[in-house]
Amino acid sequence: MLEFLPDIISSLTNPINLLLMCAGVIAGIIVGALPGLTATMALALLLPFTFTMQADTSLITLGGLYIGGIYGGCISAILINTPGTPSAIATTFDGYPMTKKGKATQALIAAAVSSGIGGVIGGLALLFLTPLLATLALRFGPPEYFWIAMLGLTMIATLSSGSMLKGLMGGAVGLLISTIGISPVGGESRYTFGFSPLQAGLELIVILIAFFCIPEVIGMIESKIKQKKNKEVKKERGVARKLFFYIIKRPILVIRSSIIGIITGIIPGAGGNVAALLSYDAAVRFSKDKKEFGKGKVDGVVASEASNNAEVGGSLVPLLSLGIPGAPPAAIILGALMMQGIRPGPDLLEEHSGLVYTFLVAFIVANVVMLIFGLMGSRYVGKVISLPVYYLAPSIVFLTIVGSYAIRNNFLDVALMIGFGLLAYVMKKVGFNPAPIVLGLILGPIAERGLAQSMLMAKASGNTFELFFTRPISVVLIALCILSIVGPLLSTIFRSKSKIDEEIQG
Amino acid sequence: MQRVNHDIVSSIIFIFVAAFALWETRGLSEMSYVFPRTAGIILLVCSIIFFIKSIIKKEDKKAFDDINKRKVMVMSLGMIGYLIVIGLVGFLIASIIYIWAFCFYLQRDEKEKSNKSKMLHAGITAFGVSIFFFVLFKFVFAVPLPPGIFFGG
Repeated sequence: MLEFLPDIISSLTNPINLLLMCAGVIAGIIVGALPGLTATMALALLLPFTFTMQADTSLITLGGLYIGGIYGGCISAILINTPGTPSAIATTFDGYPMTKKGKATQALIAAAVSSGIGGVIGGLALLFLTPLLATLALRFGPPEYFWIAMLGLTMIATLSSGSMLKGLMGGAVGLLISTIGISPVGGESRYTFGFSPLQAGLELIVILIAFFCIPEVIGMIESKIKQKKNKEVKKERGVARKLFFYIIKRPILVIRSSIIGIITGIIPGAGGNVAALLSYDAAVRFSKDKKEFGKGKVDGVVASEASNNAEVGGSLVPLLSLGIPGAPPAAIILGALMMQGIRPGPDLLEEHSGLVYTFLVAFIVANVVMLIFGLMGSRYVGKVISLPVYYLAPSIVFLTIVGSYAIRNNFLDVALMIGFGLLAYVMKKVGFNPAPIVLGLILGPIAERGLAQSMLMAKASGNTFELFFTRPISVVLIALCILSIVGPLLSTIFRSKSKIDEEIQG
Repeated sequence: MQRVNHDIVSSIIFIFVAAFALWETRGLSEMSYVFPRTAGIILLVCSIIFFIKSIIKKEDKKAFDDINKRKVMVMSLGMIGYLIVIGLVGFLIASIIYIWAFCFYLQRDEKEKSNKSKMLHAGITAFGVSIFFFVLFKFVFAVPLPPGIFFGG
């Protein structure tokens, strides 16, 4: 890499490149913060404009936009409980409760710092481990996808606050909702009732907005007591420094979350939402004060954000090493490379080493730029939430409508968003937490495709057991699933036993 | 009047949802039904257990007692109305009407403010928010927002 250092320095000191990188990061943050506009959409919109750019300029701009877009999703997740991008889903679990406590700025700062650190770790992995990690991606077959979805579903235990049974029911409802539309393997329509717009299935963002935002916005105005303002954002001096050191002093949390993000990123199709959910789950399981999660614990925000930004780097690993995009935004970057006449694939690193290394270093620099903008913006963005409810509630409803329409320019999506949103409000009131439902919805398609394809493979090979239970990665995932289910059960048994012992002794 | 037990009601609804989901999978090929049928069975089993548990261990929960039902109803119907009005007059006009009406309605408890100032503040918010995002989405992000059937949509 060192022989390309002059190229890298000359490209990164080019004012146009730097300016476009910053513009890309800022535009990404804005787009990511708006519910309904995803990083993929922003990249697709920018793609035609990069045609006339130099290859390095194009990649630097798109990289900045991608990084900013993934970080931006946390802003609306923290402020209005609506993940701006699906990757920010787990950020809502603790980010929004922090806002409710008047700690929106702290949540935004924690998200910026952890996103920056996670992104840099992801970038370093991309820089040094690309060929090594890419071989891992190739070993993932349908059974492994099935088991990774099962591992994610074991999170229901973590996410179902109150009743495990209600959590399981919610998860099953989510899995059922995920099957609406054409079967990925069988090819038949399910639960569409002859209504053709439903054949494409339900749009994830629409359901995320419905289940997370509508109940909250109704909740803002439902109080019988006059409620003029949301909780004021508390002013604290040196909060950024305090949070920075708080996060630095928890290296295991950040590194673990980043590693989960990188590994999930390199597995094509898993995405930032799965990465954030898995790392949030890991953060809860390894924490000493598990009960604080979901009530506004900063570690929850750190786990989710470090992971989803590290996933960005991970998702580019199969792209740069094999020419396979690990996530939809990476597919757009692949398009940008092809527009420049560069053919991604195993030879990319050899044929265009200078360009690839420039992009990789720029990727790390863009994460630092994102951290700086995130920290600068969080001071002001957090104040939005202290607006009176009578301004905020109708404006949020407006944003949910425009956001759910913008994804596919489909009016049905808006109707579904309102319908599911009202249903989610009633369900929340009777004790059904939206998180397990959404978890089922996210993991359902991965699990179904994995199961159906594995069944076909098993039929062909004639050995179902061997296919599902003996492949090395599957065995590791099954062990993690068992640990994930048995661990909390054992800890509950031990806790209740120690309680009884204490009562006897006392 | 006896209080409705929400757990019993919701478990019955979920039993029906699961039964319907399972019924709908008939006639599908194995590759198409295997997953929804598995999810449907999980939901059915959990809902039956939940139903039995709710009957045995009745809990007196007050899910909707501490809320302003009128406001919630107005807000919910308002969203449905907003959707209908978008279909008629398009996104921009419907949004201005919706935000203005709700900003004004939700300021009802602000006794220290005059009606005129409530209307003015609601109007500024409605025009400001709607036009800003309309321009952003339509001209910057090139999202074709619905014009409404009255305006050729």
